[in-house]
Amino acid sequence: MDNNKNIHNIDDDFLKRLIKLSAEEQVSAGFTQKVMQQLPDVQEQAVATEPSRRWVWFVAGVAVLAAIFFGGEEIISRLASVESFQVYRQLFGSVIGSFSKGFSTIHISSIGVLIIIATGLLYLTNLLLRRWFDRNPSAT
Amino acid sequence: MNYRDDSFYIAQVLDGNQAAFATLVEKHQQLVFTIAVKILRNREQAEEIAQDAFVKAYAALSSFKGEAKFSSWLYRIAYNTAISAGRRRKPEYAAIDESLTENYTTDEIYPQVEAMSQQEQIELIENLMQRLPEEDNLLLTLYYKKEKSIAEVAEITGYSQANVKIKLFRLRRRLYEDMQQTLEKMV
Repeated sequence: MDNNKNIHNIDDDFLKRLIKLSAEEQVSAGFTQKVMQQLPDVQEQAVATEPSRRWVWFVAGVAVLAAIFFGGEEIISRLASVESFQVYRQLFGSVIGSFSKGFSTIHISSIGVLIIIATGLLYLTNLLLRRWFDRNPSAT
Repeated sequence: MNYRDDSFYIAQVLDGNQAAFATLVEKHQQLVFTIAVKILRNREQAEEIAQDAFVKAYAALSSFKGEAKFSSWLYRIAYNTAISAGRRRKPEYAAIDESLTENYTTDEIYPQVEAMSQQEQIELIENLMQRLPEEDNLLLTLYYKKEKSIAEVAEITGYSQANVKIKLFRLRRRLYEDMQQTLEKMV
């Protein structure tokens, strides 16, 4: 039997009529109200259960630990020596350059300052992840 | 009730009129619930999942660009939410026979089914559809009962249109084969 011919052989009035006879479970009364009652909590729920939030805290922890062990200046100099990082360095040369300069001139050794910087970076990461999850609700 | 186009209510919601979302819920709740109940086969859980789907859609409404139909976008959210909720369950049904040979003749089936009372026909088709895996049951419902186009079924389920056609072809054949067997037993 010809496969292509069969693939298109799905229009079937007999089957359509028969399947239309089958019962359909109806949604319960008050369904709309139940949904509407949940809507004001959307923002709170999003904050509480957002998958990105756990990642943010995980990355925050790793960043702080890295800052403690390596120190800010060393992190920048290490990043600068990575080959793939050079592409970004060229692209955002002035920004990264001034950032790097700032680190070397100030000689940041304070963990507190490093935490503030890490938190700022994490805030941006969080924003990006939230945007991605909002645009892909079916991915959650 | 006569509804306006979905885009009207979406614009209202995005303008801060949250109550307009209730109309979207009323308009689409039945199919969202049907999708959930076909996948989960559990009325209570399906209602929860249907509610979740609407809440997710509301939260993501600003990102809906109107490239696809709102209904398809919403049904896709419902489908994925239901699939995620039911993912832990193991498949309970045998795989569909992959052969292309048709082991039935509609010439024998049609007169026997037409001779049945409407109640007997309902019992027959419901029994046959109940034996199918959840997703296959949903595909048949969307295409034959809800008369969704192949393109819409593909958007909702995430399958390619070609894949939807192949699945429907096989499901149709399986239904007829099972129907013939059932009718033979009845005789």
